[in-house]
Amino acid sequence: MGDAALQQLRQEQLVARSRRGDAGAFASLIDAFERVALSVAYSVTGDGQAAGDVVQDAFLRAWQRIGDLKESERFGGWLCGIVRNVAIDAARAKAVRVRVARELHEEACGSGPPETPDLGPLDELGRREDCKRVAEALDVLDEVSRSAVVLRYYENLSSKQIAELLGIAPTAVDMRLMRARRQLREHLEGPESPACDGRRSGDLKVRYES
Amino acid sequence: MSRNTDQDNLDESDNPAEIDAAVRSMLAAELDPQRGRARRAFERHIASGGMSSNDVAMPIRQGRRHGWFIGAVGLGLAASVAGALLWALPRLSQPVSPSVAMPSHEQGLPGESTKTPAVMPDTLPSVLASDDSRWTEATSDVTTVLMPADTLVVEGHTPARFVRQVGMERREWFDEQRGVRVEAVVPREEVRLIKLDTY
Repeated sequence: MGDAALQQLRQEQLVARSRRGDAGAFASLIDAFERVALSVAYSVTGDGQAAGDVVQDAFLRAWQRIGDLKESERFGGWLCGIVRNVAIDAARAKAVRVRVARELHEEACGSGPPETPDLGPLDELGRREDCKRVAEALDVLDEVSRSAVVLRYYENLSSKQIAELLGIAPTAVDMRLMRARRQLREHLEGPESPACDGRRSGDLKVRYES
Repeated sequence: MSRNTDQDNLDESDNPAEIDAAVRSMLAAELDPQRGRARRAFERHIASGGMSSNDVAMPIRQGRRHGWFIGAVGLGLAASVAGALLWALPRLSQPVSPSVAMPSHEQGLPGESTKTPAVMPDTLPSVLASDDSRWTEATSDVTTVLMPADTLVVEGHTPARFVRQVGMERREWFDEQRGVRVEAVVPREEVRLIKLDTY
């Protein structure tokens, strides 16, 4: 049995033990899948701190619902679904908070929105121009392609592994990665891209409303 | 998860190495500081008594598992008793001593359901007694069914009725404090050989 098969078997055993209430086994699953979960969360939220919050909540939800998982070998994809849903809810809630904050600011100052729409940890990106440009480049991608890119670059997963997590075909992953890389290259090597205003194309609409 | 080490999959001919490195660097800067948070939060959740959807069902599942274990042991014992009775067949031809309960007529009718007192010990099974919970026995009953009887001829000349009685013994314990109920179901089997009077 190869290493990958052994690891898969071990993960299935951990899932089975977790379903029986073994918290230690579930903690091991957290260690094994944390990077994957962060990748998926980041691809939705676009923010590291928010991704960390999402992953924290998602694993707690997974622990509470692990009895619903019938097939242990599908734990990764099942977990990514939970992460994505939590991330979408978090992003929507944040958009509401941003809108409310903006309205309160306008009421208080009687002026337009603050010059920068960025709030929270995104401010850190401003200190590193390269990171900001890369993040802007990723922003242009649709959510699924962004997830594939992040899973490939951060977790170094194969197309087959990414396909299993995202629930799409491996050939679709390859195509998306190819297109995404081309877009990244055009964005990063082309003329200076406009300042990120937080808009995203694809499934998740506007994070910051103008 | 295991990582892909096949560099061909990265298809680096599409992008200069600097772009790949920039993307990896940005992602590491964003996400590496978040590592470990989920595990710490989970450990705090468990330490504060956080329960999963499995925790409430656990005692019941344990009770059922141990109930089936007890059932398997009970069945094994019943099979041993049946084997011992069959081994004792030759002795049926001998006069029955007063100490042996051997009714001279049939008892009950085939298929009739009867209620008999519980035969399991009154003490709580050790697997539950070791638990911290305070268990109170809620119900206990035994349901038995007489299977259709066969007539045998023992040692060539002594007729005997081969009576098999199967049943289920159910005992239930309840922990008021945790609101948990445990049920143990034990299958029982009893085999009797009843000497028939001939006229």
